[in-house]
Amino acid sequence: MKRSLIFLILLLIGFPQAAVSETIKLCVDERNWYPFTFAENNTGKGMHVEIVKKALKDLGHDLIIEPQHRNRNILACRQGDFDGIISIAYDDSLESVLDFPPAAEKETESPWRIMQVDHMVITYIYDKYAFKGDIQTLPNPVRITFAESITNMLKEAGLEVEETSRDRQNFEMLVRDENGCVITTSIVAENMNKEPKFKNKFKIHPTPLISQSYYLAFSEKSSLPSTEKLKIWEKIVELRGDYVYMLKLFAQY
Amino acid sequence: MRKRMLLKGSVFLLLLISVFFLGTWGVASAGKLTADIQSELTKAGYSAGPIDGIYGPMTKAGIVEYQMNTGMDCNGLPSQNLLKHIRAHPENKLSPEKKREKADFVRNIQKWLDIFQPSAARRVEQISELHWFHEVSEPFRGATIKSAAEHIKTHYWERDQLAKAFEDITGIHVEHDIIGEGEVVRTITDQMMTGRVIYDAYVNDADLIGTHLRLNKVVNLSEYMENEGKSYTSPYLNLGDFLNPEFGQDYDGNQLQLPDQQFANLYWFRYDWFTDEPTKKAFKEKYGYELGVPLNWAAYEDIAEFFTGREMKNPDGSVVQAYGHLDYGEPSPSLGWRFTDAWLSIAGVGDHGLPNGLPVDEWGIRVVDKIPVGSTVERGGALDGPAAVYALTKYLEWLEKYAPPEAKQWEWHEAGPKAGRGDVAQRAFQYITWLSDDSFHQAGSPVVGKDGKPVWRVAPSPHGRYWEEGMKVGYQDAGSWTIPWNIRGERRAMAWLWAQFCTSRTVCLKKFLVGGTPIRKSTVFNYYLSENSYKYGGLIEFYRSPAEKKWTDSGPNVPHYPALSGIWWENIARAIKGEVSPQEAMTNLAQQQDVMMSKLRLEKFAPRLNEPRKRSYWLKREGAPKPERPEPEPKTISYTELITQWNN
Repeated sequence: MKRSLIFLILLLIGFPQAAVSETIKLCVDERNWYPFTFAENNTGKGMHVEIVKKALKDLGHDLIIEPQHRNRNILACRQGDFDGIISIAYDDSLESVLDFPPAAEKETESPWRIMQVDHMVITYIYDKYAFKGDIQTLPNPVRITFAESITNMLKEAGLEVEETSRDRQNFEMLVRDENGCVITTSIVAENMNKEPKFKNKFKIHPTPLISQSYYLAFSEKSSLPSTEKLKIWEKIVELRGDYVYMLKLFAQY
Repeated sequence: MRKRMLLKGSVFLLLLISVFFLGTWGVASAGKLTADIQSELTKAGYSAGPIDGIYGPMTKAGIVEYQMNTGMDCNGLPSQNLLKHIRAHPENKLSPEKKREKADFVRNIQKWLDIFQPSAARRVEQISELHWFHEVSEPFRGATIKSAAEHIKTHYWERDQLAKAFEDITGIHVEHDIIGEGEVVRTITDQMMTGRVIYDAYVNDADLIGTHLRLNKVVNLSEYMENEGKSYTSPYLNLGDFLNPEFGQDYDGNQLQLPDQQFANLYWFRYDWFTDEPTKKAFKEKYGYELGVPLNWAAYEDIAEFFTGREMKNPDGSVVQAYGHLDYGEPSPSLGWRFTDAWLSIAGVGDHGLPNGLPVDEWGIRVVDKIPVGSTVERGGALDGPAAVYALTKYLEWLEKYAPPEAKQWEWHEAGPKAGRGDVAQRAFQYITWLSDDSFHQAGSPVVGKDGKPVWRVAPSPHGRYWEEGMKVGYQDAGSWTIPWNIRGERRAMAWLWAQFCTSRTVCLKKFLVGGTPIRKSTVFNYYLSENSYKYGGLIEFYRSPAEKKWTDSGPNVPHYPALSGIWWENIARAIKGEVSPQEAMTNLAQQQDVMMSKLRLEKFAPRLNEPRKRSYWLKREGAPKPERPEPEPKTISYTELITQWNN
């Protein structure tokens, strides 16, 4: 009995990870941002969610993921209700709320990312505007979903930014008003183009507006030690570098 | 009699004189017309050569340029209509700026035309073709695009020579990145599935055609050429001149990928050793049949055993302890394609049929009406059947017994040129791209004779005991230009121009001489290669033979190459390490492949797995999966007889 007790104590000392393998509570944007993040039957899904889930599972953590509105996610992290947010680009205005991986503020394509995502410019089909990389030339209004971190960049460029909670609303306004632009991903735009309501009514410009790294960012109020956060980020990096895992993941979306 | 002869002679002379004068008049008349056209074209700012009435390459190029600029039919020929047109349309005169640009262009292409020799296109045709690229790319001058390709000689040449030429001629800068083939597969998959703009175009193996036609995430080139990309499609492209354009086509014949370089897997052997009389005698004494090109694995194995450890001499005087086999075994994506590139097919895993076995192909996948229905024998597939286990068993056995010991640590690209070092007697399947390595051709190399000719030859790969006539004979694939769906507008147009430039008739013969990966018939049937075929050890004969069509790639039935191929090398690596038996490895692989197939999200022809049945149900039926069968008698053929068959 004494021996078993000593063994148990040694085990706990030797494997600090076991000691911290508490349930981690993460949130994710509920909007349909297929294939990266989306909610199905109130469950968070998508490539980014899968990578984070696997990383935490491999490290022995239990996990709860809740999809909810993006702004609510940030508020919840500010209050310490969640340990972090899955899939968020670096935003310096959130520095006091969220703990991003090292050097996230400097990196265009961070090694710590879950994935890299390109944002494209979409205009009405008969609009002669051609985006060649100069953000200031974007036609107003610039429609984008709430809390995208590039919103600040667009506002700083003096553009008239309209924020909505869903991409669909942005496309509806683009097609209705026949002016301005929408900022979103190629896949979201192509999926919209499959719907009769939008088919052949807009064009996706060839040059991306911006390419951003999306992270697992932890709440500053999370009780997870920084060493554990680093381990999780390292695990994400490892998974992203796993040739077979990533190809299998891509094939399922 | 004499009078009659005299009369006949006078009539003949009269005829001769008439023909001479009429001919001279004709020439003089044509010469004047040509001179007038040269003069008018020169006045209008076009380069049509000296005004001498002689119709040469420069005159033709000038006429073609004028015809293209003015929307006339581009035949490049002088005619009265053409002359009238030039005189009646002074507005077609080139501006001074345009003249300057043209002068630069002509200067530039002279340099490149010298580099692109020999060529299957005559010089005038080259000028016309390059001129087309120059004109059509005008709106894109100063732009940059990015492409990616695997690390073989052909693509290095494209990066180091063709990208510069393309920029000089079109003003479009290309960053042509050379990365590993595994990375090409991974990156294009990333781009297709996430919509990121990583590269504008890839040279991606046509093995992925089954993926592309199901995912619908690459540009349908046939549609593009007909519609949006019509004006960016070269009038000189001529898909009929490509050796195997079908590799890049979907079930309906739409071109989704354009071949850029292709290479077959062939049997490679030391012709000098195989024809050495004492060696032949020793072989016959030991095995009871003639040493020759092995037709089956039984003979290959005998030959491997015979040469391994045998002291052999090279033409450079070096004496080596030979190996009877060459292969590689380092766990990496390339270990996977060592198997998916038809090792199972030449073992005889699949069914009869070209380009791929039906209903079971060489990946062991059963396909019904374009729908994959299973890989395991229980579901009607053959990936864990006796033939597949036999294929893996022989691979492991030969790697252990007859290959250089370090081969287990080699990847595909490391093993590729190793036969050139002079201690390998044969290789069951050699990717011919590596035969462009200098060691296979350079004087003084252990595998080049004193007369400067190679002492090696290529032949069809021997087959395993499950192989039958009517099945694909071997593997070849075409690294093919593939433009992801999210490359749009002018980027798509530039990518398409770059793809066409790299595959143009102007450059293809020279590209073959550098990289050994032909794509055009006009390359392999060119007189230059007729005169120099001796340098290629049977390769030219292979590509000229109708048999070439029996070497095919993975084909359209493999539903998702990137996701499925990854599973292969992980399982094979475990068998190499001895962690699992060949049967266990193939069973795990087949089961995992079925699980993966059931998860794939595809736009069309997505897998729908058969319900499992007893193995015996499927093994008792005709075709694949095939039940155990005994090893046949070893068989060889003389190389001379084989070449005669190819030539006929």
